[in-house]
Amino acid sequence: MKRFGPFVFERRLAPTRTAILGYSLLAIAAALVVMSFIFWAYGVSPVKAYSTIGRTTLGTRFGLMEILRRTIPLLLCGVGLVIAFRAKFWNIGAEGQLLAGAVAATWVALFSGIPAPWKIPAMFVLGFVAGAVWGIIPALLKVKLQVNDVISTLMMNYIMAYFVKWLIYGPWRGPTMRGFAYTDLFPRDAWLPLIRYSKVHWPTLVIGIAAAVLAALILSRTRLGYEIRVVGDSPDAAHYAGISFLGVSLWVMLLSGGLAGLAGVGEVAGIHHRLLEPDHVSLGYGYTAIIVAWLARGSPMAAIITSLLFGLIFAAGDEIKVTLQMPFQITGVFNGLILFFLIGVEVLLYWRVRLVRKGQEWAGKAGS
Amino acid sequence: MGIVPEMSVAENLILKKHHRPPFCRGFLLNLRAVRRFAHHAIEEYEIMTPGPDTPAKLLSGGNIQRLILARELSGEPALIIAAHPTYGLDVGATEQIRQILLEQRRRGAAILLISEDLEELMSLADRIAVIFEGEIMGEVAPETASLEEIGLMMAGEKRGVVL
Repeated sequence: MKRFGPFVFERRLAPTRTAILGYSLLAIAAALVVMSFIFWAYGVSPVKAYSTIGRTTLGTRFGLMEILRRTIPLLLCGVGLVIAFRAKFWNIGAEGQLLAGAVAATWVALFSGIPAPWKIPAMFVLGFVAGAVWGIIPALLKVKLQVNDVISTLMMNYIMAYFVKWLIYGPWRGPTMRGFAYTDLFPRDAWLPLIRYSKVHWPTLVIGIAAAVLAALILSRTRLGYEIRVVGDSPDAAHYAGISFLGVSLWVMLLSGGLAGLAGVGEVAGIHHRLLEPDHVSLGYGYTAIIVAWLARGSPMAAIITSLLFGLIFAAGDEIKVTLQMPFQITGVFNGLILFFLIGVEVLLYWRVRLVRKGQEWAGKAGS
Repeated sequence: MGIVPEMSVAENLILKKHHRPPFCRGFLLNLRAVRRFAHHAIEEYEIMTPGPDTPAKLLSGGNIQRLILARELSGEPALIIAAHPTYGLDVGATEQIRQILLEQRRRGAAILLISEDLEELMSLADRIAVIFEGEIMGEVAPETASLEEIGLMMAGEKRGVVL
């Protein structure tokens, strides 16, 4: 029990599923409320803004497809981050791992000379490998040299982003692009198939859903999953049981980085069909996926739902820009608000807060 | 060191054994074997838990202690080092854990019991060695030793080794 002003915090042992769901929805609702002030400051009625967004995203086939397209990279990165977070490996580097995958896919498409039927599979395989390599470096640094994982994974993002910039301004700048900083367009045989009249590159979506199912099975039913959970929950117990931190960290970052790499393959081979500026390849999907994973609370299957939610927010960002003439960066504000409130309600999940007045004890809303 | 709090009772029971058959074949866990082992251990060590899938952190102190004993003793170890095994437990749990230790002694395990509870030492131990400032002051048999004698050794008086 802790005291903070007139409030008393009592430790709660295990939050129920309903409590987790309820408080997560509360956080999202709080973010929506604060967002409405931002709409209001732009001179847009919040009610009109939300109804417009709802109608244009959820209400039309085009809107739904836009949500799905945004969901794909978020799902792949999100599932990977769920795995890493279960081992308490704080991978903030999905963005860079995604870009590494995009670079590998570009190499396969433009420079590898791999024959047509093998091109797309090769893009996915090498994209996974590139993301995994980019993820494994911080894992080695953490276990071998005790380098903080948050810092190293974050910094690796910048290295990869500038590497991509160097490629498109330098050796890979497309001769047919009249001096623009892009690579040439991928040949048609390196384009991912799309759902008709949309930008949904369905092979990547299928891989994303399969990854979520597989990750759930790995965590619950394999020796690796068991060891990941022990390391994440009780490093002392893991040490005592002789579980290898190096092995678990490498595996976790191999999967996490590899899945983010697949997301990068999807973006360049499914949507842009060329490598371009890093912040155009990914609109911060690797960072938003952190919130996707946090909200999923360790469950890869839940990441399917939470990535759809953030896919909706990205799709809404497009609508906000087009219909309401507000900047797309609004989505960043909204994502930030959701993460802020999510971490805020964390306190309520593990602590029961009561208000104690002078002379009397008043039991506050106990929650569930 | 004790348990993995968020993981289930069954998963905690196989810690250290999780990578060996029958619990693990290749890279897959054999969940059926894990459950069977858990049911068996819960019954044998009278672990009070709603079920094998309950998170270990929800158990009471005594039951967590039983869980740890079940986990450690199921491999029939030749040597058991028990440091304050009944510290902070209620009377019932204390008695049961003492019985479990005696059971292991009958089975033939060597037990090094570290405790400050004189009554516990007198009732469980075959030999008592008193340590004062890192040095063994003397060794006595509980049947013949008096509390005064042990008390003097605890205060730092050296006695000749009896056994």
